[in-house]
Amino acid sequence: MALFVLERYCDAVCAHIRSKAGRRETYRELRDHLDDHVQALTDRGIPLDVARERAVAAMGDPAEVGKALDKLYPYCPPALPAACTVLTVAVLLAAWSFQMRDERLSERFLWPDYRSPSQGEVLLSTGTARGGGKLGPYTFTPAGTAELVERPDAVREDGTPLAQLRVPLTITWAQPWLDEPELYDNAPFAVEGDPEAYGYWSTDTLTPLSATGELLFTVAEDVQSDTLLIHDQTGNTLRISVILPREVTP
Amino acid sequence: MNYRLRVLKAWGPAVLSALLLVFSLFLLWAVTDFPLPREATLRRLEDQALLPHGTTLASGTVELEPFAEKTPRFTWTLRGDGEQTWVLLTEAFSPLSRPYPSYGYRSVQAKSTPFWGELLELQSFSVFSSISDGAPETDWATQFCLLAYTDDPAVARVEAWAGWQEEPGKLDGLAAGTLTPAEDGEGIWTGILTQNPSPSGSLVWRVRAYDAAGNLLYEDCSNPERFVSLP
Repeated sequence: MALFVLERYCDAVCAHIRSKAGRRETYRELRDHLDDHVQALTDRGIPLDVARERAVAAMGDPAEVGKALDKLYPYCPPALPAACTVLTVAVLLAAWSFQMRDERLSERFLWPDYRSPSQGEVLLSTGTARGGGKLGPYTFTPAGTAELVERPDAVREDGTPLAQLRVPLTITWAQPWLDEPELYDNAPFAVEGDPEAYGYWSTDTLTPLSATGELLFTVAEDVQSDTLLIHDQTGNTLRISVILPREVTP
Repeated sequence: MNYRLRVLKAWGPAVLSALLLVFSLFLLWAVTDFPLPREATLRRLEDQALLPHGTTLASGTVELEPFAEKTPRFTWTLRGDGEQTWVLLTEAFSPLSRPYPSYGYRSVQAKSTPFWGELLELQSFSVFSSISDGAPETDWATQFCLLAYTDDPAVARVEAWAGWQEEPGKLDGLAAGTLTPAEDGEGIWTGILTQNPSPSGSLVWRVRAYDAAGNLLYEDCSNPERFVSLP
């Protein structure tokens, strides 16, 4: 019927617009435009039915109009975000179950435990540490103040009193799949010029891309400067220079 | 409405959900310890051990006694750079692989030939034995997987001991046996020994290589001081 000419035309145009918001907006604007055109024609004395037919004809082929207007409204298939969301939930559930079973991710984090203040520990001197560098993919950087701590009753065979040298260190790496470097059983530590000195690494905190801790060396108590060496198993060596000028006043 | 706003409104939810999907896939990858193609996993293990990137000399798969929902199943890979050799442990995460978490954070050490040995993994499990008054008794047993490598063709036999040693210098009570040549690779000897029952004590192991005439050629062990004065 002529009553629905405008509506049928707008529906035919909007059928070619994929975006729901686009269809809504286009229908409203198209309908307003057609109403204005019909009004203008009826004001000139043209019968309403004829005016509607003429207004629709003036707009052109509804398929072509619809396709042209479709380009103005970006379209995203509604199934896409829904599918991504469902997949995300499934993947997160799988990740949770793997973590509950293997607990591998939690092993990459270590937070410092509360440490009670050391009882009876005597700080002999403090100083600075410089140097470091890269071994493989790992970057070693001194961080903080080096300390020389008394070790009561610890002496070498020749009677030299011993102390513990503590050098805070930060190790960083860029690849998230790497764990912290193996610095435990490989004994990669040495002190230049002191073959009897020995050391080990103590991790304080651990994240997927960094580790902080201390290099702990047993050295002669009267040491004032030392060069610490960290070797890898390819023959490369890092040097960390420690200078201990400041004696701590008890 | 501005065209850019329309694009944002139309594609925004899809882009956001896609980003969340990518993040969740990365999280899954991290939670499963970053499985990678096998060569990449081996290189990762070498980086962590501050080793050079070697070439694969041989590999084999081992499965130990299942216990408490854990079945140790791993692949050992012998790698080398022409001067040193070392062994890495991985496990399949089909179709990729990832590091295998063996006992006590076993560290990877490069070693030089002519002969060396290594304890790759151990698995403790309970065993039941009935006693005369009918009440079953539970004991602990331990399986040890050992590997030895040599580039000396004179080695004809490799014997191994492993276990929890109550006192230094005490060999009886340790698991003992002969390692067998690996199918894939020359000079590689592997084997699984079982100590039953397993007492409490220090974990020790020893491997010895003999020639065809039975002469002892080489020896390697975990703690030399715990094998002093033993034949």
